[in-house]
Amino acid sequence: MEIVLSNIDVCNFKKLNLCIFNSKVTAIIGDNASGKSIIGEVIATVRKPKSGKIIIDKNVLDLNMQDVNYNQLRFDIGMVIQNTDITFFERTVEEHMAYQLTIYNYKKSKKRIIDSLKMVGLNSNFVSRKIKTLSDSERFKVALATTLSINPKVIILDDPTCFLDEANKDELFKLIKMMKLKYNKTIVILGNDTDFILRVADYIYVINDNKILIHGNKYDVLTSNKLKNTNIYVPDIIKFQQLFEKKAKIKLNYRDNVNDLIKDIYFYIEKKSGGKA
Amino acid sequence: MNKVEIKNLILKKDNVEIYDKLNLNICGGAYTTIIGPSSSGKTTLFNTIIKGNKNIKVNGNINYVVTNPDKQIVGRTVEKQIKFFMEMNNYSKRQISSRFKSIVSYFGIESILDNDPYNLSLGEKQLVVLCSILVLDLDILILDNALCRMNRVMKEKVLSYFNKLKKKKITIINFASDVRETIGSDYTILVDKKLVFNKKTKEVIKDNKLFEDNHLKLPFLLDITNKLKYYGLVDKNIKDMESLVDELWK
Repeated sequence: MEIVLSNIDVCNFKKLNLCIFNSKVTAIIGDNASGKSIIGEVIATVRKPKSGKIIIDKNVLDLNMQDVNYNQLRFDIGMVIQNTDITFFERTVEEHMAYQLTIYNYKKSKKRIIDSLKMVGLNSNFVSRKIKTLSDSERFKVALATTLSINPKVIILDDPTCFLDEANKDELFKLIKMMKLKYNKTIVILGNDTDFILRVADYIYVINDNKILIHGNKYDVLTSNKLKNTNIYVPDIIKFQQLFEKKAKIKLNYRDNVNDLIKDIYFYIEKKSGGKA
Repeated sequence: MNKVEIKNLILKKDNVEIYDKLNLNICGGAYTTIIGPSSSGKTTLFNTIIKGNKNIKVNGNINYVVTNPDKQIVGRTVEKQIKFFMEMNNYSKRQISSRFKSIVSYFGIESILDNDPYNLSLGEKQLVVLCSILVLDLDILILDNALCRMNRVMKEKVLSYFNKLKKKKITIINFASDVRETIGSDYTILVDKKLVFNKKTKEVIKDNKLFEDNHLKLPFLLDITNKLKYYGLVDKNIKDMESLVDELWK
């Protein structure tokens, strides 16, 4: 599903243009309070912009929310909100997920619930746990599983990595990759964890001062000089490659993981010393 | 002074034992980071410390900040929120205004003082709630992953503020899921349903094996240096990225 925001006015944003590409991972990064979540809500069509056009798969949407398509859009676009702490406390995980399924007119199927919990790495013992006894990371995973159980075409993740440790980040990385390649899902990530976004994103938008500062391929964006005036942290691996390029006066193919990078460096050093390294 | 001692603590959650006879000493006047994998019982331990338990000895008052800032917002504006706890504890007017001014200028939040805290983004909410606690006379400050929504630049600013607090002999205990938050702390404690280690941070950072054994992610510089060593491209530890590049490309 392709979502295009064209000339959108919402909150402090004026004439915002943005495109979420079909079956790609698009990241929207920015400082705290830059309006990432607001843009996420506009993409999820739950926040009504003042003016502008939302174009979904080449159909222009009626902004008055009277359009019949809106009901269908609730099935197509799933969003995992930032504050998963506010979901129903006294319920068990199964009750919570079954409730969500009935809202969406699906049958309450235990298999479906367990399958989506398995997808996010929680075993079937979790169905009888109460949500209030879960840890923050588990609560996030339940929220993610709930979204996945509806099988939306677009998944919006708002700051997904904040409660996750490294092992869980790796799992989320694999899950997003699988969603993109195997199920052709369109994924939007909002956040400022640039280390994770570098690994997973294809396309990045940077938001600063109520407008889009730069957008493009992830390496083009993260190596851009424009980031210097913002609060966005450039990942160490990118900084290292920039330093190496400067010192060795070589144009590197940028890498997002250390193993590939070292092979490249080994190649260049061997070439320089004439095969003696 | 201001220390926290945990002796033979047994903790259960949902009839599942999380800690069996946990023994832990947290030094007074020092800055300690407690890290651990997701769902390893960090928040459970945090809740037990702030609620009190007969197996936990605490010398001094505890002030705490929880993960979800919505739970600690009381003021109608950011300014009222930051002054609220001081007013509650009968601080003098001069004290209130001087502390307020210094914390606002340190974190540069002048522009949002008149906003309603509920309309802020989560990262800003966390900062505002933290500020409203930091202005108090603290003995022991405990944070439960209270910096997780902030961006890295702001996080580093907060962590360097903690370093300033150390001089006032305030005990800071930071429960964190991000290993990078250990930087600048005196002690690092790793819990994973038991106490794994309690060491000085300086020693932890040097010890590569400790990271590998406990499935922690090495900082980038250590990681790449280790792998370059394996390929025989460098042969010693290097302190920063510039000198690593110089060493590689002589």
